[in-house]
Amino acid sequence: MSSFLSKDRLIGLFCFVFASYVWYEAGTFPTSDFDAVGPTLYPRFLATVIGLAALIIFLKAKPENAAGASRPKCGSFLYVILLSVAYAALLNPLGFIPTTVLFLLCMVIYFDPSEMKVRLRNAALYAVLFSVFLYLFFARLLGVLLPGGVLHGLLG
Amino acid sequence: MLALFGQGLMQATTPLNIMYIAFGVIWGIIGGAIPGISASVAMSLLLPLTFGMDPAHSLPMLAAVYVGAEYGGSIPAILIKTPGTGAAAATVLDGYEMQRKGLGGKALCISLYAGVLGGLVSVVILVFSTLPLARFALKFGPSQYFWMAMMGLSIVGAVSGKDPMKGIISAASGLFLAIIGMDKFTSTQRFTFGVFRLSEGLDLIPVLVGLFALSEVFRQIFSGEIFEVIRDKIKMTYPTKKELASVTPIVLACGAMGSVVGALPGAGATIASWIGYSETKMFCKNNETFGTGDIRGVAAPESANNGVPAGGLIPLLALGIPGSNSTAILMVGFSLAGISCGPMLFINQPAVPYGLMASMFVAQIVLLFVGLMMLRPCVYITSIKKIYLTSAIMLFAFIGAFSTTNDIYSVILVLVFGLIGFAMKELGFAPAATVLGFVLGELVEGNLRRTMQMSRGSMDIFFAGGLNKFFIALTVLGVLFPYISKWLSSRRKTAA
Repeated sequence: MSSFLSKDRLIGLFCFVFASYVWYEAGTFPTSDFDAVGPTLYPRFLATVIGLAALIIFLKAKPENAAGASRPKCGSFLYVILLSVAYAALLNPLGFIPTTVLFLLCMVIYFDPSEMKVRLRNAALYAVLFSVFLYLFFARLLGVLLPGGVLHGLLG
Repeated sequence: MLALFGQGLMQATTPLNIMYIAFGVIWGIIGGAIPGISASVAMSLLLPLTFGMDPAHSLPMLAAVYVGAEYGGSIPAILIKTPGTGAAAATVLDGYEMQRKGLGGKALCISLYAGVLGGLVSVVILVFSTLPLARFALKFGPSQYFWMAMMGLSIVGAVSGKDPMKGIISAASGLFLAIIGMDKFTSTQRFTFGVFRLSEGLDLIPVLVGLFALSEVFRQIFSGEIFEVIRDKIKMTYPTKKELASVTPIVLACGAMGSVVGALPGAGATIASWIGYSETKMFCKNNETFGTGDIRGVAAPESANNGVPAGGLIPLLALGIPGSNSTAILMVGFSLAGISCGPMLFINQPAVPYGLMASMFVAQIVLLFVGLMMLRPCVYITSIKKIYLTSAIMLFAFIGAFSTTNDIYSVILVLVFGLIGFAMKELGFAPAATVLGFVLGELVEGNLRRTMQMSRGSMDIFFAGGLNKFFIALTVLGVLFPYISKWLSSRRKTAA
């Protein structure tokens, strides 16, 4: 990244583009005879506030110093995002308990620093017991309609 | 006033209500004891469960979470030098030094005693100050409400981001999120991108849970905090009656100060606890022992930050304007129950605000007993591997979102806002200001348009009258405050 396009300059630029979009889009809303103010004024007011603040960020941004920054865990982060998306996708077809067991197994096996044998035992115990507890607490006690999925017949 | 508070007390002390309050306090203590989980995260995770609940139970429960979390934050601060909430950072200075000397149990008891007593002082201030403020607020018209909300947002925005401008953008983005959906005045679809589900607007709960809870989980994973393992040994010792008596004047003063700070928009528990610590250190004799394990260094910040929850209720109940993220969540709790906060609440449903005030009082008493019983379990909570807590929080967030609409749309929404909140934190923005903007969005736009309809499109009405000018001055001051304080501190450094 060149010194001119520092992180804050990019943020300022992005926010300014967003504000411009809001300003433009608000102009496309139809006006109404029943409302003297209309649906356009307020979004444009917000777009002005965001745009001005973005300009200030852009103009006063300094070249950044990358030294000393801690190394983020991008791989772990992406893994959790993928797991979360898979959880949302499988919740209805598989059902709450199987999806939650799988989610917890994948989380604990990946992140628990214990040795593999202990980790597998902990993960299996935690995944099954906590999933069943959550189902009983939310679905049976509080009446949340959690999807039964493949266990629909068994859970009733 | 006192008769209504008495009635509220009768209502708050029914066995069922005490049970809900105790649950809220326990939930809050556990949430506060987990580093990174603030009062607002603990409250937002519980918020979906209040959907459809009797407000006489749900509101005290949410308020009790707030009370419990402010105390809970001190547990890891004292035991493992990691403040559970930002507000407990000042407690680390002397609390952890006490723990290192084998006085961890004593520090926890002092923190609990200071928290309960500070909270009680704050409730007394809440009871006596809210009604006069609500009566005064009856004079407000839509333009005053507009400016008051802008004032709150500008102060919260300017002080909560790493850069005041990023804070302002965060708050304005929250106001923008509230626009999405059908315009209530003209039925025009705004920023729905042709998505049918967005025409109803964004659901409060997935946005709140995503921005507060899930974003924090993502941040911990991204920064590698999730791999941290705690191995400190903890000894339990208890304070003497003489020690408790010696800190009582400090606790009473700091509790009252915490209440005042809690009532100010944008200030909150973190600022209150630092003011409590520094002012006590300045005014106490023999202050050279501060920072080396002095019990006054634990009592002062803890009573100050426990004074904040009741103080925060003053503007929420009297004006209908939340001054912090936790009170914003409480306001959502009110709206889920179909109740509007503000001065009219004291005329139409006085039992509600006084019931809540009485519940705050009861919550402090419950905190004392529950806190004592939970001393040892909380020591255990702080030593659980983070992955077990983190994955549980993620599941609470998913189920909470799912329960609002009973479909995957809300789970996707919570994930999207979790990622947005995470990105905001990484880039120095303030998700808390976004949430406040989102919660206040309808009030801001509604009052802006009502005012302009009254003036037939003229803007002059916003600048007319002493009250408007007063709020405008505070709004401008709120935006300029970080710059002024930076300039003042640089001048002080140059002079030194």
